[in-house]
Amino acid sequence: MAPRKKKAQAKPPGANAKSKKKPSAPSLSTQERFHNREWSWLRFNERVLEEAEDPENPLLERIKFLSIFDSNLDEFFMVRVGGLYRQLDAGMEVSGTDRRPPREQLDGIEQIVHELLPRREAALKQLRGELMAEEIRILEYDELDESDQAFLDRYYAEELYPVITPMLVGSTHPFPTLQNCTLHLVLRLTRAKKKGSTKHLAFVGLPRVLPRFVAVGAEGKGVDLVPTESILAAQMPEMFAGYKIRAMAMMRVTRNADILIDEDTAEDFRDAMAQMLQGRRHGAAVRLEFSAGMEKKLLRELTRRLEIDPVQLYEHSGLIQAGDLMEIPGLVDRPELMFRPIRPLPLPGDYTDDIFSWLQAAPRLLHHPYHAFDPVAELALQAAEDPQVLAIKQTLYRTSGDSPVVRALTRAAELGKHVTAVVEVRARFDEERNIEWAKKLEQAGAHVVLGLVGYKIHCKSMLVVRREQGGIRRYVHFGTGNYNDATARLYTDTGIMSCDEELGEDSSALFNMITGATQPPDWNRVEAAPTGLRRRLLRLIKREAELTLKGRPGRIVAKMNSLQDREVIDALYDASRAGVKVDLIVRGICCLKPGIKGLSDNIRVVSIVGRFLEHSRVFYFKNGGKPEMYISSADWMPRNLDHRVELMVPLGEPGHRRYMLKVMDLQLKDNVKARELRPDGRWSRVQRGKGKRPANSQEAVYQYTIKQLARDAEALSRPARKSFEPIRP
Amino acid sequence: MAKKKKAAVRKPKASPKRVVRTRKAAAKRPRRPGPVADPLRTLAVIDVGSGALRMAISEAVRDKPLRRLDTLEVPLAIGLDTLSRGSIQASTTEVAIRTFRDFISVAESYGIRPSECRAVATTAVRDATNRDVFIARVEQGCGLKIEIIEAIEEIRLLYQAVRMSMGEQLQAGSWMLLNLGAGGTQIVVQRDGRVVFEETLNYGLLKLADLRGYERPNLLPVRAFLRKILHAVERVQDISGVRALVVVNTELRRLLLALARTRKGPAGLEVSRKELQRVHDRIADLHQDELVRSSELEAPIAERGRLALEELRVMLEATASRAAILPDISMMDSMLVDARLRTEVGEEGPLHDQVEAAARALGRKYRFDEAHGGHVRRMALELFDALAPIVHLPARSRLLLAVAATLHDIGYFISPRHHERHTAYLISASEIMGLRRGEVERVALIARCHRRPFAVVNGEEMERLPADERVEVLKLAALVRLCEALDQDHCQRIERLRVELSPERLHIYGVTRSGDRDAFASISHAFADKIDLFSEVFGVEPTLSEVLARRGRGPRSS
Repeated sequence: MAPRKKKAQAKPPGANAKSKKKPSAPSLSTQERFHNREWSWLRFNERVLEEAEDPENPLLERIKFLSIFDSNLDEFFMVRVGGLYRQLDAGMEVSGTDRRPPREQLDGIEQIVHELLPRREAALKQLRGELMAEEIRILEYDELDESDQAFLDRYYAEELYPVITPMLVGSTHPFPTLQNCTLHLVLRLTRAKKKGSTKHLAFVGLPRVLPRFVAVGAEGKGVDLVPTESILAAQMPEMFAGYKIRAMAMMRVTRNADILIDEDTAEDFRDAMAQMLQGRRHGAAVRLEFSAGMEKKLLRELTRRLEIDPVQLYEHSGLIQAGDLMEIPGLVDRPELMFRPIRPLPLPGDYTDDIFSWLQAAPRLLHHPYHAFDPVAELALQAAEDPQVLAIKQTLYRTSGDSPVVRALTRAAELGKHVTAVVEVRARFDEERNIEWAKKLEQAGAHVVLGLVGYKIHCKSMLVVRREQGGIRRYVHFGTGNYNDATARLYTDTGIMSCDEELGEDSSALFNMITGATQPPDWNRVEAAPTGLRRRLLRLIKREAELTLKGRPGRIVAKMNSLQDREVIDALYDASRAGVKVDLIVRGICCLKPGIKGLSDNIRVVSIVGRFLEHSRVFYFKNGGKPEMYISSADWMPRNLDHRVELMVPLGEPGHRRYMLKVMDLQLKDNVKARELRPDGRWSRVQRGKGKRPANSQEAVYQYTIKQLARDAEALSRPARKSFEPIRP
Repeated sequence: MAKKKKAAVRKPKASPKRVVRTRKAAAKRPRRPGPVADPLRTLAVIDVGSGALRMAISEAVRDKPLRRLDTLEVPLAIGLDTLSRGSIQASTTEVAIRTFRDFISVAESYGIRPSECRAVATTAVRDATNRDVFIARVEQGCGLKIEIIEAIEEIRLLYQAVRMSMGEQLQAGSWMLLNLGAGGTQIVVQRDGRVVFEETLNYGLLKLADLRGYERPNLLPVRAFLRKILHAVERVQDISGVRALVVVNTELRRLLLALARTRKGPAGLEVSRKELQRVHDRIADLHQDELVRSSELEAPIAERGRLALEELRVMLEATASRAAILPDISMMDSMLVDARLRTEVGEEGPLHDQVEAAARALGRKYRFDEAHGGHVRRMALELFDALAPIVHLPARSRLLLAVAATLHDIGYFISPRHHERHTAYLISASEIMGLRRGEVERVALIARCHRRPFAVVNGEEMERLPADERVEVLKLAALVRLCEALDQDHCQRIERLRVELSPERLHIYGVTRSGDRDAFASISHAFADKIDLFSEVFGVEPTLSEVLARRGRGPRSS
């Protein structure tokens, strides 16, 4: 009897629900509880810069990282800094997750950028040196021999000259509107033969249609690259013949591109978008970059004319607009200076050229770029040609110019199938391209929807409706990334393909909602923003906390690009206080402060910045032993949860959940490309324990995926169990 | 007359050209082949409701439940326009056209052409003064042809779908169906598997919302109004014995799903009386924001659900129902079920029994001689089947004949004098679930013609009918008139009929048991008086003779 009694009393650790209470939250101010969004973003860009600095990375890849750092920063100034200036002008007192005054945020930005820029200059210098050692020389015009100079003179006359427009500023020529993010040569001129003549300013913009770097002949494997501005500068005396060039420098204005359109009143959405794009080119200046050594007088003049504060000035001793360095790997054929390419893994062995029967056999989880993008493209391509297919519906946020998916949609529409393309024309900086695709698809006969008033459509779904022998069957793809075969080779994204009836209904309902044919429906399996996703996430987090308090230890592993939403962060803090172990893999912005005593002791935040851009959003909830896992197009940010149409799709197959959990586990164990967030907002590289082997999660995931596919293939090739049937009389 | 009398008592010949044993023959009558359904068929129906436009796309596979592929809903308060202004505003029409275009586009993605979408409008459009303009503009704007259905057809569709979704026990039970629409409320009472009462009340949730007020919402006027309605219903039909209350209202269903402890029963969501009361008490006085917060529903849905709950509670108080059943059925489901049945069973429809039950309920309302009505009906149907070669009417006409024969004498309720006229206007003013308005009007004419038919035949009402319907009325009226004569003393002396039909003549044998020659002579006399219409319509002069039935051996000549 006694042991039985004992057994009856035994409880799992922490199971005494009555005695276990959630500790009360420490009294902290908003700013003590949340990191600033903008500063956190800059810290993400710092991690990109670290990759450019990291000698372990191949040289041309470091060049790419530096280019990405610059492009990122351009976008940040255009959108985020531009937005903060707009808030400042509007007299907004506080803004952002941590409720700081815009001015304070701008000061912080300036401080961090000025902290990062010298590192950028140093990295650039270092990289130029290392390129030189590899015989890839970035040279000025003057450094070339005569034959090369003659070649460039011809290039100037034939290619450059026809597309440049010098702009002279004088009494009859007003100060021009310098285009956003366009590199200009700026010159101060006087008439050559007139003493004390009027001073003129002149601007020559670098044409966007031509490459920044021109390769000139070099012997052996080496190559000499000449920046366009250097070629132009050499031609300036001839261009401004009759003037004396008093000073010359490079400059670039960044303008506020955070321009909104009034979607409610816009009669023609496309016209309104066109106006907005026009406005972006000429918005208020928020940054002036200039080459070191610019004449002070000239700088003063520019500052005055552009109505720019001294704090918005950024001097570069090296290359301005280093985003163009992205051209270099394409100009030199040096694969040994790049990452060893990984071959996207083909479809599992049971694929037999018929995507429909492949999907009928089982739902498929795809993890790009480890898995090839082919199945997604195949679904679109086969659906376009298949006579049984009635309709194809597709969301497009950002896609490549010659995307097979867009080609398939066009083909299907031409063949008379019902094609619905939801092209989100407000995808920032892809607006013009998206409007073009929308036009092309419309011309082919597709039913094109340009978005929803007030909400960007960010979810990724493809739906194929097929009439089969047993009735209508719907094939769906839900993903975390865009339908872009080019980025699918560089971004890690997750997708699920299935012909599950409930998921099919959900996808149909999604498109019906987007096309205005119905109000937000009650979903079968998925959850959607802006209607219920926030609520669902909060419930899932809360459930882990409640289960933990009841003695069933909770665990959350969530991977996303950015974490900014206050309500979600507060729920995570609550979960942490309840004892839930929370692991977050956040590539970019993270406003949550981990490791704060009594608030977030149980939360760990890791960021992975590596050769692939971590882009998938995957959420795992232990749920007391009945795990739930979701993939989503949404980050945990107010913009995603409240202002965009997003989806969160459950992974129903245990095998899919096991795979993704293993992937996240590998990422949490990364000690090569992972950084851990500190309470002060800085990130530090994960320390490799003594004797521990380096663990690069992206490489490890690739190896794991190979093994997984081999296991699947083996299971398929295993002969079916034999059975014996007696011959009965 | 003498000649006629002689003919009436003539014995049957040994070898008639064609002898039809009507009852058995009816039983063996080959089933009229309905349209053969494709093994797979995609159906699209559009419901132009008072508060929303809805579309459902389903796939029908023979012998399998309908599979819903898509459900679309866009809120559009057409009912509000009709209620407040009497007509549908131009801007509302524009939104409707735009929405229909979106609907059509979705239908096309399933390979359904616009002409294959069935769109029906109910009270909101029906009651609008500019309904024809609305329908024309929609057709012009998107190619969709909207069909306006009468309230009684609406409730028939709903009742049919609800019944089909139920288990056998409930199908044969006693319950009340309450359809709480935005523009109208409909009640059907079924007792022992048969409809005994149906009524369409000209108020809906929009009207209740109006009564409650918007500035300072107050439910008291709503309750008072509902009680008044309830008393009006109770005066006509005793509902205290209703054991189950089946409620159709999407908003209420969603509200209860959010707030109440519910059980999933075979016919739908079940909520106990006690639980309904609890939820009602909890939300009755909540501010809208609180209601929205607690139910997590959008404000209009939560508000309409609250009003529907108020209405349900009042009805619940008047019945012995212990719970409410809320099937997941909407107007669209009803239309889909109907569309499917039309495909599989044919236009005749599956609810003949219910239509006849509704006719009997109407007869009882006017205290008719049920035995006489039933007897005339049976003989008329026997003749209809036996004379199929010369009647040439579809199966639907058989149903109209049954209803007209059942109700031909209800005018006695007003007065025996000119009772056929009273019969006609009583039928005409009533609704018979399962019959369309035009059909009810024709039934009224058929019933009226059982006496003094020639006053009607050339009358205005007949002239208004299209030619084929006019012929139908005349043929059926001739049959009712003849059979009415066969039971002129209301004693059901003739058990069944045997018919001999040749191109030249029609001889009817009335099979009796009593062998009461005087009584039969009286019947023959009445018969001879009433063959006029029959002879004129069918071109054959019928004769009658008596055949005495032998116990256990079938009829014998008297």
